[in-house]
Amino acid sequence: MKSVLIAGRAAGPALALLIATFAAGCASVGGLVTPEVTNAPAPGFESVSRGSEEDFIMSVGRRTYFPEGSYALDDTAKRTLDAQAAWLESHPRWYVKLQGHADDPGSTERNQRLSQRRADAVMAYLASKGVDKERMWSKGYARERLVRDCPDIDCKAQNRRVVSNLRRSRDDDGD
Amino acid sequence: MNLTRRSLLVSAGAAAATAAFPAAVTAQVAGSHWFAGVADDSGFQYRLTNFNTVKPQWRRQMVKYLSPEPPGTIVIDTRNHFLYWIWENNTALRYGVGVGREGFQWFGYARVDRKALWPRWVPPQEMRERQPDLPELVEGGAADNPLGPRALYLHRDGRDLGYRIHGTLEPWSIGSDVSSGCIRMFPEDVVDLYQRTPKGTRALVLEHLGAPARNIEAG
Repeated sequence: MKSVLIAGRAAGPALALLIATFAAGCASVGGLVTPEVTNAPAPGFESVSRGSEEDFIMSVGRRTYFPEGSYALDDTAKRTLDAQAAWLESHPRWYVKLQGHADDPGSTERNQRLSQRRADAVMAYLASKGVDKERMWSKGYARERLVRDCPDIDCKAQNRRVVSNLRRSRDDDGD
Repeated sequence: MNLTRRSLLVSAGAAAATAAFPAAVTAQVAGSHWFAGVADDSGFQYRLTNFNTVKPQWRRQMVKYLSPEPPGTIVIDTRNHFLYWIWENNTALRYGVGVGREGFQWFGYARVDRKALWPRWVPPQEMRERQPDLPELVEGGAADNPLGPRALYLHRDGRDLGYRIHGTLEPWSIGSDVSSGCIRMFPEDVVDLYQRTPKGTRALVLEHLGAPARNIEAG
């Protein structure tokens, strides 16, 4: 290895580039690399196995939406959560961090409270459908993580949401 | 969106279909290989699609998406028969769709201002003029309602554009130009999209990805 590095230095940029290219090629071995073009399979979704996080995202969906200023669950939200509860029952190895978000009228404090209440409402509903409370925890993010930032309903409807984020352990709080 | 000859034949009876149409069409009328059981949904039922029969490109899948439309947008590529639900990180959930037979007649921005479970179908006047046999109204949940289990209504500036994203009774029509201006999806997919897109979601109808996003009204 040392001699390669010396040779690379001696031979100048061309060989160094060659070595870099080779290293990049090595890094892709074992993982399917798809081209950076629209319609190529998204990484991790080339083939989705049952019970995987990708399966949850594709066949159930992680997001529950809320109307302005509200943390009430409407019929659509309940249908999503019914599907989430059923999936979580079938795949008991997963934990769930419920991440609440807001983009609603009022102060940051008010958005913070609302985002936490949304996450708590989702957690309570999942618990009522049989998901063990020990598998779930919640956190409100106020307006910290907007899907899209604009003053119109186009954006705000996307932001008023709870994301049910799968976790491998109770300690994995992530970000 | 309109009742095609095929679906009218279903109600007219399979015998008539056999007499009047070639084998390929009657096979679709019989259609058993296109379906895989029945789903109960909010008091009604729809036929589940047999996705083994469906070409892989028309099945729901997560893809890379490198076009400029922002996350939280529905983008419809009418030429290539794809509907994209745009996510963060240059990805999108892609569905196969069927689109307007005479070539799509409008493009541009719209918004999903209304969503309906088991929508009733009221054929527009001009469609009934072309097809006088059409009923004035088909109730939501009826077995012959071509909208299927869900509809998303596209509006612009508060006005109903008259175009919907809806289901279909004819899974073989996904991936082709069939209806008169509406966007049809597998029933499973329109149910899925309904759950993922809140009221207020922006929609962009394009001739194809990369084409300019102009607002063009129907004639």
